[in-house]
Amino acid sequence: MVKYLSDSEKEILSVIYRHSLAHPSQFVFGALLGRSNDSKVTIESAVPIHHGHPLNIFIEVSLYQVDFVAKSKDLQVIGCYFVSEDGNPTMSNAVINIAEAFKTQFNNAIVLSLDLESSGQKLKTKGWSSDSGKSWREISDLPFSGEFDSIHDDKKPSDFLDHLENLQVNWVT
Amino acid sequence: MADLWKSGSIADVRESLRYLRQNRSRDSERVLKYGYPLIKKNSSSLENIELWEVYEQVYIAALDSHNNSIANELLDKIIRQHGAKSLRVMTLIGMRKEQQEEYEEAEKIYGQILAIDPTHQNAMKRQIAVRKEAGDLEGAIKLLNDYLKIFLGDTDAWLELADIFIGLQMYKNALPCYEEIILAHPQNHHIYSKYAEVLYSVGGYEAFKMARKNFAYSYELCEKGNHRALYGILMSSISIASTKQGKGEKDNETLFHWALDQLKEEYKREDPSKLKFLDAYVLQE
Repeated sequence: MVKYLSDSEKEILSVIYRHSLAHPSQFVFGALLGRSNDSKVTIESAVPIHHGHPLNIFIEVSLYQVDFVAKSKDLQVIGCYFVSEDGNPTMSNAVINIAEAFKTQFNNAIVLSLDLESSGQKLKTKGWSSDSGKSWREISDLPFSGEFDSIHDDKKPSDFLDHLENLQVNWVT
Repeated sequence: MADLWKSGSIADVRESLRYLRQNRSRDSERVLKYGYPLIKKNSSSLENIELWEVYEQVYIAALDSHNNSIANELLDKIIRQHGAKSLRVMTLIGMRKEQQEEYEEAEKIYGQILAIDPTHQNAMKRQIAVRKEAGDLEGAIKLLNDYLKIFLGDTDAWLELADIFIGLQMYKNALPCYEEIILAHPQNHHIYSKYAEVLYSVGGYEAFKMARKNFAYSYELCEKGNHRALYGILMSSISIASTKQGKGEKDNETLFHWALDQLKEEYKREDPSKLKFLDAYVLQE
């Protein structure tokens, strides 16, 4: 069974949380980049992709670029994150659709979500693994948690949709 | 418009509020911040009809912002002025119930309004909103369809219905909604792009071709800054080339390279450092 680790959990949580704050009451999702060996997947960064209902074209067009950038940094696309409109982390059909697209990039893909509904002072997360290509199972020992204050940052992250409106916007670096 | 708010003058605040009402837009934070002091301290500077429109507008902004004390205060004044039996006031009371998540109470009120006036547009819309908030999307779809039988030209309602279908991944059901909007707004390039995006999600050779066509028309209607359409042509072409029927199609390859060249020009102009990302898109042969 693969173990998911991270040395950048605060930065990753910050990106995901701020992406959801930038688009309140909207579904947001993005990519997770990292490295893997036989039994370990290290999550290095999060890249915001989209806000609103996820249509296939945006998943696909942004995956091309995210994958391209990941390879240039000796990383790979290892999963995705999402935050649902109501802050409730559920693997809905729409999420599974996105997750399956990411699974084509990496067999042990991880799906990470924020559980805003039950988060109090501390931000709660939930994650699922594709478990070597089989169905999605919930991960019990996620390396992600964080106090809201420690991940707060006023900067609003831009996603691929923002980039389509203005090509000067940096959404993936 | 942001500058008008900042000046803080009565005339500018009135103008900003009027602009939002005319365009049926909301900017709840600013409406509350500037509109509430206007009606508290300078209500005499407003004509009677305008005054109560502003009251309604600020009340709705207070609901959006969950400022319950201001919402209660304003609703109280509105009821005292116009009476609780006015259909417009009843709608506002219903909205308060919605904000408090008392959906059954809200629906009861809207039902009472519709019993008096079966074509009361706002009450019908609020009923749809309640069904959505309660998570009853099937109910919301049924009510929206009933609403659109009466108000066929309501573009916002068609968009709302399309949005619900997309959220449920019922992409084929969303398509006729966009077709109605295109009929009403044939020069709106955004709608052609949105229609194309849903076609792309339907998938398959024919749908990809229709998507490419609509992205191309969107670009024809508006070239400036229409990167969404260019990327749409690019992705549709890639997807067409990956199908059995579309593999090796010369027209498709031509359009792909044309779209890629247009995007390269756009990036050269806007931000050359990002040109390299276009290398990620390769037409599958």
